[in-house]
Amino acid sequence: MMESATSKGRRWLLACAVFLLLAFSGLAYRLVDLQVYRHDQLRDTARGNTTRTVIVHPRRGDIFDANGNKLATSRFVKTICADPVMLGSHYPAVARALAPLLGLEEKELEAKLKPRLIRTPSGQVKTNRYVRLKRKVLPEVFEQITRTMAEFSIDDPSVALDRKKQRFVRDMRRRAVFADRAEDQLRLYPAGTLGAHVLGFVGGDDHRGKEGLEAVLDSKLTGARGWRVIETDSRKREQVERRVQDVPARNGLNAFLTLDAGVQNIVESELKLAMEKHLAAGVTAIVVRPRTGDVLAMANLPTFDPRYPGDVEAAARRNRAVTDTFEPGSTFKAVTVAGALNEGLVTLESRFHCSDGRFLYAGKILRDHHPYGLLSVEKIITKSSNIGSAKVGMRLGAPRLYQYIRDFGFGSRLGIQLPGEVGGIVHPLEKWTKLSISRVPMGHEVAGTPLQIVMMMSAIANEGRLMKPRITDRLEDEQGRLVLKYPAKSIRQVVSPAVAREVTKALKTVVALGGTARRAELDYYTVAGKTGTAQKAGRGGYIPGKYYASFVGFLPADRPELCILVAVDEPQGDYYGGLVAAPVFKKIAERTASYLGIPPDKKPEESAAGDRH
Amino acid sequence: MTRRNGTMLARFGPAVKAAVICLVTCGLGLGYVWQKQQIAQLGKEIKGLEMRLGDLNKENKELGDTLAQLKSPQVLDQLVKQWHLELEMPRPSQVVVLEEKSPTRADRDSSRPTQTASR
Repeated sequence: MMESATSKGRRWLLACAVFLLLAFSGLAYRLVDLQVYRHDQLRDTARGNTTRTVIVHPRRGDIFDANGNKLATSRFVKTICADPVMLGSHYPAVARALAPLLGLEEKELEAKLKPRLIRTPSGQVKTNRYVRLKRKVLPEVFEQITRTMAEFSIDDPSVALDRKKQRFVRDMRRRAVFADRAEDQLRLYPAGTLGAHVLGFVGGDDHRGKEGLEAVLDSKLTGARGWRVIETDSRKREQVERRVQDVPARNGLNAFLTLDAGVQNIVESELKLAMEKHLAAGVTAIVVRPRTGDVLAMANLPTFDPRYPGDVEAAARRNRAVTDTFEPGSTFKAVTVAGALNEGLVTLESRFHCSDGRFLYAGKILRDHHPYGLLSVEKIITKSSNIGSAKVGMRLGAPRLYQYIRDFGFGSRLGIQLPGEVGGIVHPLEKWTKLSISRVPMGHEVAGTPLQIVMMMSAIANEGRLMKPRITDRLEDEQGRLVLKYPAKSIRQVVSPAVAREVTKALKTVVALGGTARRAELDYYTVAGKTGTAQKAGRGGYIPGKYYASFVGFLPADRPELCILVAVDEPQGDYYGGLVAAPVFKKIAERTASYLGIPPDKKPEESAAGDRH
Repeated sequence: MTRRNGTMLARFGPAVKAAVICLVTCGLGLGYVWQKQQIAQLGKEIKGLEMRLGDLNKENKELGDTLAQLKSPQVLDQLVKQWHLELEMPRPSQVVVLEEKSPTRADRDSSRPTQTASR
């Protein structure tokens, strides 16, 4: 009896031992399975639950003018989203509350917030849990939205809500309207439309430059992204002490321009008045420092708001100062005369007979506005004689004239840091007709950009040296350390300094008594310049009644500080450069010289005496 | 006396050792927890300071943008017109230019201290 009880107990013990052995074997297998075989997979899953890589976006660099005034800057903004399911049937009330904050129509917002079923690309039917309400919302507006939602009441507060309803309301207030995790930026232009064509604009989801300097300097302004590998707790809050990697973003570089916001404002305000006065299709002006080629102002009208570039036609966004070409007309006579003087073929006193206003050449008649007889080279410039300049050009000869045209920068891009710059049209010598040598010297059969014209005149002002136009001065990092300097560059010496001074002497007579641009004369500064009136060319020849009036000049004539071009496209009524563009030049020059504190080189008595003549 | 002491040591020695080991282990454990607590606390402080720095940077940026907007020539022009300040650029006749004369050789010589020749 005792023996059988003992053996029964042993069997139990054995059974228990076997059971435990099997159980522990199972556990051991599971342990090996989890810790060895599936180790990598489970480790990744565990890390995925707590570890996140956060991309830190760099802030786009700012753009400043020459005096450190901010012209373009960026701010981090939010993309506001909502979960319509969490709003339930309260979406109309939420739309009513948020529409004014988001600047959207209530009906439009209501349609977005309405819970609905959607079909995924895989054919699955789901509720819409994510709708984008508005992009590029300022952080302060988002704070207002959060506050509005937190205080949002859906029912009569005196009526008690059951627990389920309370939880629904709490979730709706906290989480139904939220900001997307992805950071976005908004480009702001504190000076509004000032310098819009130079600055350009940014666009697209990637906040990249699309036009102007924003596009040209895009890689420098963008910066480099950083990242942070973090661990979060169960409520998705970062555990800072467990931060694995922290690589800060490198914000974009700041660009400092040669542009002066004060001068730009003067130019734009005067162009606006000119546009209204002459009912023109467009006006363009450029202000340059001849010695360095620094562009102080560049403006075109019509213009656009760089924050809303899509609000205007594409033509208004074009920087016509560098993208559009026109026949320069009489301003080009300075090139012809400078070339002939530089070759020693003429002096300012050399005389040419201007055929009494009618000059038959190659079967075509070339006319002057007034019949002139013998005119000196200086007077040819003063009176802007077409026949006189044609004869000077003929003495210079086509090959040399062509070379001077190219040397003054026509027919090739000057290399300004702006997109869309064109080189203009200068036909190769082989394509010149017999007539060309009588037409090119007075600025026909060639086309240049306003920038080329002003740089040509700047070369004369700068003792015959053509400079590369410069719009960006330097790039700095956030701490103000210099990263890249764009120095002033000379392209070439076109004519000798003595010849440049001779041409200046002739150009000074243009604004004096008997010249074509009396209205460009200044009280306190001597001006040297040239008018231009060109008929606009279209398909099949010149378009009757459509002109391009211009004036380009520099001051003070004998130690130039500023070179200014004003061009009026299709003015109504008066169309001569001396009547339309010269007065605008005068206003811009007077205000700019005063703003920059350029010492006068002329006494008021001289000016008054000049007026009496 | 010696035997008695030896007996006491033999009797309580292991207990003392165990107590010391327990205390040290306990101390190490508490120290570890305290340090973890400190690290977590510092983490929270760092997070708070980072957020404050972010807010201050943001505020600084907003103020800078507002200043830039207020300083823009267009806004200044508008304010001058709005408040009828009648401000305009001075004409060159209203500006007195003081030209700094570059020192001549005579000026330089006169300002130099006189030197006596030593024999």
